[in-house]
Amino acid sequence: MASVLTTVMAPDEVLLPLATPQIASMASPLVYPLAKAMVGQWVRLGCILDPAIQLLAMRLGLSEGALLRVKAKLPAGPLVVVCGQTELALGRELCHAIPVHPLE
Amino acid sequence: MPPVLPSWLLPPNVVAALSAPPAKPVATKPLRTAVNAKGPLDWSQPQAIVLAGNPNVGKSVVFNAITGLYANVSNFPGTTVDIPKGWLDSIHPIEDTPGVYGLSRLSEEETVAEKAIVAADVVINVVNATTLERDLFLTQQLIDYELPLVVALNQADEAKALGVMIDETVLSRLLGVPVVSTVATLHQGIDELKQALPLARVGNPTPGSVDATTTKELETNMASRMQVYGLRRQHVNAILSQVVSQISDKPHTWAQRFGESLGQWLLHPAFGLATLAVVLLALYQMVGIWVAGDLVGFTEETVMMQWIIPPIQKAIGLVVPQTSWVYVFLAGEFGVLTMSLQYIYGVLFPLVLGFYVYISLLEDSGYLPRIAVLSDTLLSRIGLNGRAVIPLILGFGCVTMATVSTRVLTTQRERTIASTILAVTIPCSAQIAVILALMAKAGGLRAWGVYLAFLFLILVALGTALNALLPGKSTPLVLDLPPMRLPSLNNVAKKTWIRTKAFIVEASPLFVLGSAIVGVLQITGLLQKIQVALAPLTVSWLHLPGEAATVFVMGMVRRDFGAAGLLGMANHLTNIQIITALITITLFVPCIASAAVFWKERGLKEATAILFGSWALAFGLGAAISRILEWLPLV
Repeated sequence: MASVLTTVMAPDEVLLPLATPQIASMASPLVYPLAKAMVGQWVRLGCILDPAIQLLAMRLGLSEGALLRVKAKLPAGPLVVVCGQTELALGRELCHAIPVHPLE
Repeated sequence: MPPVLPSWLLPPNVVAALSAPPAKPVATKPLRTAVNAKGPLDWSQPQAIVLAGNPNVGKSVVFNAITGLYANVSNFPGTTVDIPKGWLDSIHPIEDTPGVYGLSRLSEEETVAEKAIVAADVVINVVNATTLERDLFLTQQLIDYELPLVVALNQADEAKALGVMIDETVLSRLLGVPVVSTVATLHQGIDELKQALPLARVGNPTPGSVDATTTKELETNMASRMQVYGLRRQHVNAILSQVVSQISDKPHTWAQRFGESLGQWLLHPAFGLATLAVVLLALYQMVGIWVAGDLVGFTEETVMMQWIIPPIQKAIGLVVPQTSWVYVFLAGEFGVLTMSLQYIYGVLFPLVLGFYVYISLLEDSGYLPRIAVLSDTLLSRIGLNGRAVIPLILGFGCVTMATVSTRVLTTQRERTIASTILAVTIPCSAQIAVILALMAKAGGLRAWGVYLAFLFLILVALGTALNALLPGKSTPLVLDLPPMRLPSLNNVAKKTWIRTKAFIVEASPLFVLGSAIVGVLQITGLLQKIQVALAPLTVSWLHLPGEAATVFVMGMVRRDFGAAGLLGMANHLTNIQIITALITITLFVPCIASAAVFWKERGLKEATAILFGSWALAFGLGAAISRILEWLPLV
């Protein structure tokens, strides 16, 4: 299963260890909420704990390990992220509940 | 990995299914021969076709191309809320559905879409070739629900231009359903799609799933739904790895690169807001000044009042005497025939047309969703999200039209908040024209500043209060941003026309009803009694002359009548009184037609609460503001 995921998601990136639900806490330096990512930054989606948000993310094509680029960040407002060819605007509060691993 | 559930939480057949070996790289195998659960498709018999897909993948364009009809095509996700219907041929009806990411009844759009989709004999799943990793999730869900399917791989040209290659043959084998490549905007692949419909079939389910009934049952429970979704996501990812290859990463054409930079620039915190201000000022100039002022001046005063209404009054005068109540009811000052015609065709029609031209241009260029993103910061604080900016902008044109458009919002809670804000704080363009004239008398820019500041404060306070008081939580913004494009004028014209027509058809009876109610009030003398009863309140509470009561009551009939009445009194009013009166009349009950729309959209209970609430707010805040201004001389 894991081999399938890595083939699809990250053929050319150095793989960071993916968080399991137990260690996906915001305290880890390698994991922080998407809301804290910088404009232009590449991040890898971590494990979303909130079931409703996890569901939403899966439907939008954002599964754990997916690569995202932060395209824009409105002050105290939504983030615009690019995933593949999809450009998505996500409300700020939602971005606080989405853990990511920085790649740069 | 989805969290693993304790097996005691799941029914036994599901435990068996989930413990089956999970997703392997998908093996290619020939299309399944069993066509669907009801037996092979007999194309000579009536079969209901339904279009399904994610938002903004081009379903409506495909629908139009197949049927030759026109459904709303837009570059703004989520504009199809009602279901357009047409015919492929005489025995095959076809329906469009709202764009959804899945069929889990998480929103009203999903519920509407799901009902239509599961009842279909054949589903055309439109997927966008450039966003396949997202779109195939719904495709696989449709397959897991055992719906006979044909996939239309749309916008294949854009994918190619972006350097994305998709192997359709392998995709078709892996999914187990026919896949037809289309560029619906250019009508390419539509004939092939029609020919493929009789070949629709139930595809290859997600490995590990049992059957449609079990899958649906599992998806009703949040925890087991996550497990099903997780397996489906992995399966889709495995399919993607075999069919999609990214040849290059950069947008190729000059236009695409320009669109990309423009899209980014428009979301810049400073430039983006500056552009938004310019766009809104242009809207104000075009609709507020040219259309609401100049054009409506001509259509209402010349076309209606001079050319059309007098012959009607004359004709009715020949049948019944001008002094009779029948004449007053039909052709008097607020006559059902005369006032409705004058208002609907003289005022509303040009206004709504002008507004929709502008909105359609914004929408098709891809700018409208970016406005939604820019305004999300403010709107998310008052229990809405960025999507609500569309009804709010429309409200400055016509509150009635805007209330109808609150249907694009996801939840009832958001619709209630947006409708209330529209009813209470947004002045419509009919009023704005007269407010402008009054402001010039009350000291111009300074008076505007005070008026707008009070309205803005009231809007924020009202939204915050509703957000705190209404049960539940509003949904966060999740919006697909389409690329910036040069709008097709043909599509803008078609869309404007369809929307204007739909609005006029929907609102006309309400305006007629409004005129009829006012006519009855006038004939029975009740209108005058209300004015007399209200007069002491305007004097003691609002510190306004007694005649202002007439102005408020007339404001219910037509909001601009009210404001225009004030204009007539303006010479006897102080600046404080002008501001107080304008704020009161803005907050006061919207016109009778919009009251009727509230009733239709929000139900009797909520509409009554909104209407009486706006009365109380108008007089309460009007009184407070008059005292604040008397104490603190801002104007």
